[in-house]
Amino acid sequence: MSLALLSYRITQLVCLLPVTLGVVGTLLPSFGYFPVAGFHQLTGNYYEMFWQAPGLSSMVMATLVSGSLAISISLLLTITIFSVFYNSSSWKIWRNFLSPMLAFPHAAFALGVMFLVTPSGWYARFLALFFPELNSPPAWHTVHDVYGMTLGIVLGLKELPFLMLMALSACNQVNVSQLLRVGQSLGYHPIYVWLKIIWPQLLPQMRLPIIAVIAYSFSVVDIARILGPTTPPTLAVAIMQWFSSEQLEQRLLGSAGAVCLLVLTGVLMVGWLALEQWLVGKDGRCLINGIRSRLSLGWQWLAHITQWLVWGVWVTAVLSIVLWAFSWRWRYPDFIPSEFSLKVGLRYSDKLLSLLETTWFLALMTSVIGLLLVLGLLEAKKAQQRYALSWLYLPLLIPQVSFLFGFQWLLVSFNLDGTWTGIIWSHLIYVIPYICLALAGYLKHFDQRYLTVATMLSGRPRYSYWRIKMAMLLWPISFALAVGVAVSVAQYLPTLFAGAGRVSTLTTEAVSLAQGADYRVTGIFALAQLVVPLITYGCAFLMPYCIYRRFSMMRI
Amino acid sequence: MMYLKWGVHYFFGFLLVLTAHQAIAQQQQNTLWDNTVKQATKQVVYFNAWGGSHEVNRYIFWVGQQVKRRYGITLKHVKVDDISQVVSRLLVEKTAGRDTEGKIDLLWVNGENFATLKNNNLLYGPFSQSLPNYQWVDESKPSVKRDFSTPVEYMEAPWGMAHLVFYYDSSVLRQPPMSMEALLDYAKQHPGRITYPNPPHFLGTTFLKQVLLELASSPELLQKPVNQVDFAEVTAPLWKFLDQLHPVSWRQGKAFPANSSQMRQMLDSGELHVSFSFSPSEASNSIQAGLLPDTVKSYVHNGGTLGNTHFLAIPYNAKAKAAAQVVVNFLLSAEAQSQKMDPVIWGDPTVLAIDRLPEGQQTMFARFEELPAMLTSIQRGKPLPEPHFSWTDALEKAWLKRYQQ
Repeated sequence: MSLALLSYRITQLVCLLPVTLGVVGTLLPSFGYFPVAGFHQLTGNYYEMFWQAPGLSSMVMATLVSGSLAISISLLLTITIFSVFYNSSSWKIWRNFLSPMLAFPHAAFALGVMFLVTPSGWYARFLALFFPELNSPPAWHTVHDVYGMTLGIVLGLKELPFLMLMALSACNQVNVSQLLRVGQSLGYHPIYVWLKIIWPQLLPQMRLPIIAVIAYSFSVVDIARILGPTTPPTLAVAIMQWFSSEQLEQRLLGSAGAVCLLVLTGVLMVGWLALEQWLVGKDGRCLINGIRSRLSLGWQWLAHITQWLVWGVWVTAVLSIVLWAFSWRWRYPDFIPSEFSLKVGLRYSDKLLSLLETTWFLALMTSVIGLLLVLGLLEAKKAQQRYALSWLYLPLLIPQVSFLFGFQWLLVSFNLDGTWTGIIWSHLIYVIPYICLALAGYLKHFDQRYLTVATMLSGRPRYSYWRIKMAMLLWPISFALAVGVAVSVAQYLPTLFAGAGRVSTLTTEAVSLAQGADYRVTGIFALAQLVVPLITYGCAFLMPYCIYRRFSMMRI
Repeated sequence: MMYLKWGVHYFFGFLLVLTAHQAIAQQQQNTLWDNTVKQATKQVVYFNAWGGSHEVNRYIFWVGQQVKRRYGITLKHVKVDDISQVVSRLLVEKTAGRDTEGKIDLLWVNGENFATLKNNNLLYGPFSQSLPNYQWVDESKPSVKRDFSTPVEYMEAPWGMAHLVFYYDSSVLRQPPMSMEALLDYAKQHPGRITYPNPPHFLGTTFLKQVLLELASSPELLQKPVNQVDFAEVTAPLWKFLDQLHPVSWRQGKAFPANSSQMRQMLDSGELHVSFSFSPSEASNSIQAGLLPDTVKSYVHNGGTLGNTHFLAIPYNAKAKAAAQVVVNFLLSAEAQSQKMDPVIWGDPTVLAIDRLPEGQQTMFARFEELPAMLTSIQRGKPLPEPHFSWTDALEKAWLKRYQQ
């Protein structure tokens, strides 16, 4: 077996085994078969229990509202930004900040937004500067709101950079500038060209990322713990609570819930596919009605305002994290901290350093292993056909709570729970697909003739591979490594399930400290969580630059 | 005379044998303990304990340094959000047949979690009475022998005392409400400023129990298992109270804070006017940590408030049982207990009978400075006993059914 085929098979095993066995390991307990805990009787009772769980309708409601908000906001914003701002002055800002925004860990972003919108948050403090009646915090239902609206909006804003990057890479498949030229010469406003010609071609290309966002938004746990409703929580959080109850039957109830969540997301994904068909369908009347000029200025204004709002939220979220991290006393309604201090940071410095070490070690190990596997598997003949690698993205389409519970039993039975191997494995499930997403395009477009020439000259294929192909692809490779690190750093549930509570990373610690409601500590951990991917991105950018500082052609 | 002489001889002989026997027993005990200490060296103890408080974490870190230096034991604090997760992990390990090499060596536990562990034979022991420092434990405290009505039977070692204490900002509130009825009146006058943590969080459940203890017509029924009383009848005053409180509480009772820390934060920002904690030192610790203004003061209700003991237990499949026992013994020493009781460090009341300790050790407990936000044990009064452990689950379930629509 060649090395390429070997890595193809290993990747298949690493990515698919946990998901398939994990789903089975969730499905069986949901029907009452859970031998490790002494349950052998097949029964549908747990589904009945699930249907009668107190507050189920509110849970489903909150899940549906927050998830739908998330996917609509991220998709609509992506469409708007591309349609209105493509190649405009703000386009460059968007392009430059997409990667750092994507690398921003979910939990840190959620914590940042929490600092802004809680009734005693920064926005209320800002308003209190002008309205004296806000001297005690207003009774806003801005976090933990019953329908999970804040949760949905934050998820939407966080998924925005991901969808935009995916749209950018989909743009490579469609000749955008040509379409724009042709459309405009036919008298269509550029926005209409986007809406009527380009997006109908882009959306089918973005099917996978969009349904991945659906799967994620409807089953997120970490952000929902920080911002979501509490009495009752969203479905995914409730399932996690059942999984961690001291009563074993509750775990079976949790499995039943997890299976139902899986079905729900499946239905929603099919729903999106139908909607997409309807939107871009060949007989889409509004696409071919010929209207090209009736574009109100209001649209553009709205787009501008939205753009500033989005930037405003991102920037203030980062600022509030930094301010809290360095404050000592910041009581409501003070607009800025009354006392700054490094005391809190120093108090946690040992802890932070050891967590940074763990997090970085895990992230680097996972990304390097993932990168090697992906590089190998992309060389395999099997990977060359179209859709050959679709299986790789399966983990992104299954809600985490629906298979991690089963995966945990797989780890326990191999005695891998709580070990580095177990955790690295659980991270690889997510790191590999993202590295592949980041690399596949570049490897596909690499001109193989360089390699052929090099091999002919040196007579050593492997040597040429490293010296020529890898060297030429150094920038995308180091970028993919950084993506891998960012993905690994952001993992919450996989670390929790595979870590057996023994291994904590910056992310698990940040989420659990958020419960402690000491915003200064939360700020510090959010900041630390932010630093890891940002530094990695910096290195990914600088390394090729330094190595090739004498070869200007090689620097991207 | 002769007989007498013989008698005296016998008597002395008997005494001799007796003392020798005792001495041997003592010695055996000592050598046993020496062996335990010897075995413990170089072992790693995974101590699963709630990790949500900086003071507690810092104290456990200090303990880790001490046992490393004295016994060569490595103490790893596994921080958990809720110890019930650990209990369920143990249950699964047991059913999965992982009877040795368990991943948990020591855990911080009490109440229904202890009951679950004990009833499922998941605990190592009895062990606590054989620890050299156990002799100083104050067994006259009822909650040391019975944990939420479950007989402890030395299957867990007492570690510290919890007592429900309320606190408020005296610059906002002049006279705090000293009973549940007064609290309800206050909430009616100041809508949105009173709340309690979301059951099944233990502090939320504790609030329910406190209401019930104050309002129930015969509170002694709570000491019985739930299935032996008329639950609906006993709890009727509680639901009546909550139905009145919720419309005037924070967010009209449609949402609740997750825990006591969140309540503390909301008290600081002025969103709430009264908060409470199971740790008598929470208010003073928070003032020191810059989390509350120094105008915050503590109080307890007129009829007294709930109190209990928290314990340390060793799972049956723990890998480092010897080292875990050595750590528990250290935690029971006057040094560790007084360190823990120091309000500047943690402020957790001791389980030792201070007056029985050797004099040199008694002074360790006499050096604390008085902090204005903290009540002395005399001011806190005698704690009310926890209801039977079965009430916890029953109250939580009933609450969820009624208020989580």
